[in-house]
Amino acid sequence: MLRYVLTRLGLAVPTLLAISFLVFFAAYLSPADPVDIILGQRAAPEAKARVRHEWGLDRPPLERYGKYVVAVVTKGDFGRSYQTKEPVTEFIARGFPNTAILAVSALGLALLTGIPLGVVAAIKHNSWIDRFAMAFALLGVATPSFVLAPVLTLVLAVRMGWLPVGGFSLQEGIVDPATFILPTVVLAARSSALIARLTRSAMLDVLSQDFIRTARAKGVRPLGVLFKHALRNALSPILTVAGTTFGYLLSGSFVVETFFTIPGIGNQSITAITARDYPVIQGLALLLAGIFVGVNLIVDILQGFVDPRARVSDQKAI
Amino acid sequence: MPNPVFLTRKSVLSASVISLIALSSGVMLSGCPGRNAGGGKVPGVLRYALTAEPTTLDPALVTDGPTIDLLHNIYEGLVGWNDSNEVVPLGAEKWDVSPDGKTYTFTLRSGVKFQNGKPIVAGDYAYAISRSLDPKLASPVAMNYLDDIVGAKEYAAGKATALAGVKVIDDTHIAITITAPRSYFLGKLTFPTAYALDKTEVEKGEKIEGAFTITATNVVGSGPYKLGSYVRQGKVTLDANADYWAGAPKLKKIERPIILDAKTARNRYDAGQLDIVTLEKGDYERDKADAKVSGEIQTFGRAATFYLGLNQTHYAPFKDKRVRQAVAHAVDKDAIIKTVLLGINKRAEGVLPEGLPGYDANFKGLPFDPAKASALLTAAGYPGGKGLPPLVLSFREKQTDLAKAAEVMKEQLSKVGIPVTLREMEWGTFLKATDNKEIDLFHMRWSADYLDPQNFLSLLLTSGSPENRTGYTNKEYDAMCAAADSERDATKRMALYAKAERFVVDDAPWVPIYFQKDLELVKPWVKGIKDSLMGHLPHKTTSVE
Repeated sequence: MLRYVLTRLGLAVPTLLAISFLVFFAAYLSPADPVDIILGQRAAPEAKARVRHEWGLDRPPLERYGKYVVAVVTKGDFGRSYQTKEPVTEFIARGFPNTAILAVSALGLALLTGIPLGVVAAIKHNSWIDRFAMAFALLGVATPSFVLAPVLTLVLAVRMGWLPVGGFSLQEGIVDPATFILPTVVLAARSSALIARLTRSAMLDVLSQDFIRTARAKGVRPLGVLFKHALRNALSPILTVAGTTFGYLLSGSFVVETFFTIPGIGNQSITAITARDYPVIQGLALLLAGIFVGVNLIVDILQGFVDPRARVSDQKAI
Repeated sequence: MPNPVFLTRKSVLSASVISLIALSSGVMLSGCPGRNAGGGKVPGVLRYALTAEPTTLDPALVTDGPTIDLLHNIYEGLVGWNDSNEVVPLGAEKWDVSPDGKTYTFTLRSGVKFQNGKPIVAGDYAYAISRSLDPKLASPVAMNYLDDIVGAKEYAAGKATALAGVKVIDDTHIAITITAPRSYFLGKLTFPTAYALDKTEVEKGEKIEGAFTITATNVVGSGPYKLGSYVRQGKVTLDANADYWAGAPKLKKIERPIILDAKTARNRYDAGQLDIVTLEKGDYERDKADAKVSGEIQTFGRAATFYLGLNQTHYAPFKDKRVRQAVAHAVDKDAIIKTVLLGINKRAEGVLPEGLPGYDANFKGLPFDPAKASALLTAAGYPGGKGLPPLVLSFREKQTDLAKAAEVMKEQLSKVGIPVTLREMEWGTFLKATDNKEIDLFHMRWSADYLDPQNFLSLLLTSGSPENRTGYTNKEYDAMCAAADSERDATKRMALYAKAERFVVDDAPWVPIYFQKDLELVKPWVKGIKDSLMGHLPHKTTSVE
């Protein structure tokens, strides 16, 4: 098991390095000159030269990349914003809690709705309930958040006035539970639908196994068969998907955060991209990549614990 | 084994039915009046969105419109604009100009205080202006506005230790000397780079690269509002400054939530959570037809001209006046305004926007005349456009109006035989390319830095000006602008600019297309907004009742 964990950890490091390399050089190769972003195009050549030197922008790109990686690893220093001169870590510290809360609540909602929906669809296989549930899931998968967000807002917030238009903000102390509802529902919709589909499929698979028939033959009560035998066995793939879904929810809330004005890292990324604030873009991209790699790593390790076959197949693959 | 596939025809059909029901319910409900929109007027509080995070709270560094609109409620300079687009005294009570037109001596208004209660003295203005030009602060805009001051170039380049042209006479008098008589200099002084600053407060800020910074913790101005709070990615609030020299403003508070998404801002306006919102062009026809909203539409003229720039240093045929004029005659501005701009904007006959000093409503530029355009092309040796090298029309990306107008112009130009391909460019790259004169033909906007013809005619089109993106060079035109720039008699000056404008419109390095107009929805309970061509003025008279 230790070897398995170490192997997974070992793979995460080069992945993160490769991502940092790509992100850094994507910024380096962009046509805009960082000094123009800091000072404006009309700044005096002397001022431009001074700022270029002070920010280390006159150094060769590989040297800058090396220093960047060392600073990130040794000091957790992602550099400073070109626009506000603030450390990028302060952006992250400000935005990440909002994003994390949104992701956790969306994942919770997705699990709470997706699993029961999938289970019911599997039990009532081929009935109108099944078709209705799966049609609902199809709708959830097919409706992008940039459509769902304005439609729900227009109806439930603007017209009916039941919910607030904007989302929550930890910084501003806006934590009224009502401010969580629309962003959470919109962000959770797709994940909930995916989990429902997966749950149904996994449950149908398990329900057709011999041991379920045996359990029924032994006189185990239907609910016992369903929850103790079927759902428990179907949970393994569901939890794996839930893990990766969490990574997506953390990194994929750009539209939801921007639409509901939630000051998370998705919102920050949009602002930074608009302002061509490369250090902030780099820092946030690296953070999101790190989250994704981290979540996958945890899922892989948990998978190794839950299902020993994963460890074996992994060793064979290596 | 059961079939795990769920994408059956029936499920797809069910999904379609659910979608139709959901969408139609949404559409029906969206047409219903709101029951309880969760908002409404808040007496004494004005709420309108900041469309972007403030780029800075430092008046020496600010460059963008939304942030300037925020800061000019907090800080104030010696002079500012009024709603007749004239420069009026603010921190100064009056000024005297020396006989040679080079020295402005300002007498400070008595009773003007910083928001920390400290009376403002002449040295505070001198400090602020010098600080803006301090090379350590590296302001991206200070030289655009303060470069006329004697010694500004040397000081900004770090070659002088003091700013020679600014002299504090005593606590209530300050003299600013400029290098040559420039009637528009006062207009330049309205920009935030000359707002009064309290040195003690500034020096409480963090020192970065040798210069003290102004952040939310040390914002102290002398304007009608104090910074109440600033939550990044959240909201900026301004509280009324009860000690403002002209009396406390009518509002108690201004709330500026930071909302990047235009649709979100509109939803909040519709829900009664904002009092003012930008009206997106896509919503204009619908809102105009909606009796409940149409009365809230307000249109504001702005000092900005959208134009075609013909770069003769990069596209050789544009060296020939006849080819440039052919382009001008080929463009049907009315068609662009009707089809792209929904008839909102006004056709630009000349370079100077409507309302700017020197604007002449009777002036007619080169008319739409495709037959004449063809004839001019033939006369220039390009009959039917034959022999013209490929021409690329470039414009800034993600700007719907620019892109649509460019499409229309492409069609119009092709009708007279000028084949054009379009290129959308990222803003920074586009700006740099036009700066370096690497673009044949470009469609962009010039928005005034200050309300004076010099800011258009001299800055944009005279030889060697850093803002001349067309490479246009004409000694006769340069002489007209030079004479106008230094003329001190206002009537004579405007006459000289009028002559220069006629000359340059006929010479056609620029084809002015239309003037900017901003559309906003303003709730009926908001009264007393004062506006200039530069934007809304500080909310001294605005009320929410």
